[in-house]
Amino acid sequence: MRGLRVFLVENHQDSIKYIRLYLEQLGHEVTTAGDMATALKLFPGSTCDVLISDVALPDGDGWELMERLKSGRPSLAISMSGYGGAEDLLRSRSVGYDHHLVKPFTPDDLVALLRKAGTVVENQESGRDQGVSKGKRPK
Amino acid sequence: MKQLKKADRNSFQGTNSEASSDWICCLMQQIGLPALRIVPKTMEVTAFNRLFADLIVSTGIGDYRLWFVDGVLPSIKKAERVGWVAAAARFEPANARVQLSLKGGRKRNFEIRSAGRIQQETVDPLIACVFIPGSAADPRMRDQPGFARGRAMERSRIRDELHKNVSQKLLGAAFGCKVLAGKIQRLDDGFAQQASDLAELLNTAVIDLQNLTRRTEDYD
Repeated sequence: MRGLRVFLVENHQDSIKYIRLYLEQLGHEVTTAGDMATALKLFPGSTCDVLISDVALPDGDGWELMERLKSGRPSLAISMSGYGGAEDLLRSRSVGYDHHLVKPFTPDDLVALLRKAGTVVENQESGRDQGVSKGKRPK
Repeated sequence: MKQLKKADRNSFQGTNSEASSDWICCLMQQIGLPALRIVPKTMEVTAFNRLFADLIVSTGIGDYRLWFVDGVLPSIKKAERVGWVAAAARFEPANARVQLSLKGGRKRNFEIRSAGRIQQETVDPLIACVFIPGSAADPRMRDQPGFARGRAMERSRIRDELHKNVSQKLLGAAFGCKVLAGKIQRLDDGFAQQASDLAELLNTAVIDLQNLTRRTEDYD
């Protein structure tokens, strides 16, 4: 799997710590934020490929976060929530998330989505930069 | 458990140290339900278990043979009493709601369920009555708004608990285990396999929890 730049928004300390470690172990570059305010501050400069955000944040929610990220949206956005109701899924889709993961999900669930993200990023890059050599990415 | 001699033919020797016991009363005692046996026509009590004796003691009726007629029958809801008595006389299974006073005066609802003829009992067959306690005994209670609200609140509380505590911790643990498995793999293949098995176990727990959470949502 190609290395991706992942922006992870999650307020649960253990979850953010171990998801980050695991994704880094797989060769991805991970930036984290524990709340919406931090995410809004760090996200514009992160030039990430994938946004993974919890829906429940201490100062807002993942849907509002997506709506406020007016520019620089990632190639693939994944929302996470503890409730798998159809309403959560539909709302996530309506604000621009490509996928919705219901907690607790397995590491394999997330890896499968990141594989998809890798394909999307490659397609975008090949369409955008035809004939131009790609910048170096994490392994 | 007590029993009249007349009913000895319907009884067996109890497995405990007590004297001969009616097998149904004995069985119900073991699973925690008050029970008694009555003669169909007279409704005279022939056997009972200790749980039923504890239940009826507050009535102050001294002669246990009258416990049903004087202690239970008047407490069956009027609308159901006639039907229950008729069914019992025909030796057919019947249910009725009854409110009994516990020690200290507190009242408690029960559903009295009586069985029909029991094939093995060929001589002087008796009616077996079991008392199911609480609102669970009355399916109509479950349809009442307060009861439904309480159930919804409890489901919501359990779901929140599953998400905020169990689910989040399990998520962190599943990823943490994968990290460890990856690191150990570089050091020792045997340990790596164990870590991988542990990660798999956590994955299974995660999936079980997902299914459980979905089931609680299905009720909403």
